[in-house]
Amino acid sequence: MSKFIFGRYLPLNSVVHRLDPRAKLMLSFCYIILVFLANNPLSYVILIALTVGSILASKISLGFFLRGIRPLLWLIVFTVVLQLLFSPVGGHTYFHWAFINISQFGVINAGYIFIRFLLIIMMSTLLTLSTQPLDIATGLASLMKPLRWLHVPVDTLAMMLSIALRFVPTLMDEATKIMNAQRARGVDFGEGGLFKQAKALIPLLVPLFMSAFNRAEDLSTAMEARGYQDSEHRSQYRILTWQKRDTVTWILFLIGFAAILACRRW
Amino acid sequence: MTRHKTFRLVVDALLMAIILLQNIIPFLGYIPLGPFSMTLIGLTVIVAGTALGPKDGMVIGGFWGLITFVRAFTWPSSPVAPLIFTNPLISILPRLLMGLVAGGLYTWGRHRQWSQRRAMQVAAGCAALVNTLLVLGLVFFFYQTPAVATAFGAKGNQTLGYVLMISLLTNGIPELILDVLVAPLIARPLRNRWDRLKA
Repeated sequence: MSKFIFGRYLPLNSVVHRLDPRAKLMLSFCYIILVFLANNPLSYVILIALTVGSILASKISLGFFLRGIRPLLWLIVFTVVLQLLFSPVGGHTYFHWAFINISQFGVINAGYIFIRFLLIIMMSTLLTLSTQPLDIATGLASLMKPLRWLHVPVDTLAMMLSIALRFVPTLMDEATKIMNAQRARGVDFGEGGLFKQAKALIPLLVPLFMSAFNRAEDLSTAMEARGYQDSEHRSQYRILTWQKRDTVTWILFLIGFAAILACRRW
Repeated sequence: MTRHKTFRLVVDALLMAIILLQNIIPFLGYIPLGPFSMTLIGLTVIVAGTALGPKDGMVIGGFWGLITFVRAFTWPSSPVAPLIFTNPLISILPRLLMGLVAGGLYTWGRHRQWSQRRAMQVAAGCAALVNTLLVLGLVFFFYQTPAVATAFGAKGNQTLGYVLMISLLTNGIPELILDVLVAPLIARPLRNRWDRLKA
């Protein structure tokens, strides 16, 4: 668990850290679409340059970064191997045995999948490493604003998201506490067969849910005592501002995006 | 009246936090079964549906689906996730409907004067079944059409489809049993509190 760096925040003071979360979220989104659009070596070279450039600009060391995404690598390798072995016949066939079929087509496809997921994982890890969770929530809420026209309760969803993010660490502490308390009473977690493992989770899950329910009751009472009525008619304390560096970053990325689209084989 | 509206908002938020937690701590979210694993996250969705109602079940289920969708790109939970869950229809729809079924069937069973325990078990079983069958069915459906498979960047063929289906089948049945047995244990005390609060 501690090896994963995805979803964690690394407090540094770099250009990337200071960017507007909305700009970063939108950029990551466009980047993912573009990764799927890129389809020849040159376009991938540009993508890799963009990615490595962003990581360097964030002042996070490349070694730390690569070590952090290593646990995810075997998952991608497994996917790639699946792809490699079970691709339909196409192009030159290198090896064929029963239903296993390694073809030129399969190799190229597997290679593309590998690069694509690696790039996407690197960029999204960079996003979470350089943006605080609450900033991501505020950014998402502000990006969802247009959905108001479709009568989506955007403000309520934003409220729920920020409460959820705030309580993840609290509930995590609580879960560890309950686990240790149950261990002291003789429960073995993570041992034995499937059903024994599942059964050991009951004395953890029931109190966890009950305590979440209790917390919800306390929190909603406290919120109402402070004048919370609904999410819509409120002013905001955290206000995001779009600055010059956001525009500059966007222009740089747009140049890169245009280059990729230009060299894509249509 | 607002009293229970605010409470509902906060409870949904905390259930979302539990789902996030189950995604962050593998121990709380998954029980490993060789290369694949069965998930306990469905349990949270069923609890949300049966303890609070179909609407909350859908919110929590949809949230899980959204996380599955984003995770398939950024932080795959299993080797097959990048292949199948990058399609929002496969990742989001089954989870959304799962919460709806859990809540709807519980209400329906109670109207037919079933005991609370029985209504919850039936709701949990059907919800787990809906999730597994829909994922399975949609994977089967999409891997039959080459156009969609190519759009994923994955040339799915028959064999790959079978591999995925066998893995889902072996996961689906233990998950079903687990949900039927555990969901009522968690959902019953919560439901009783919720009913008292609304009264």
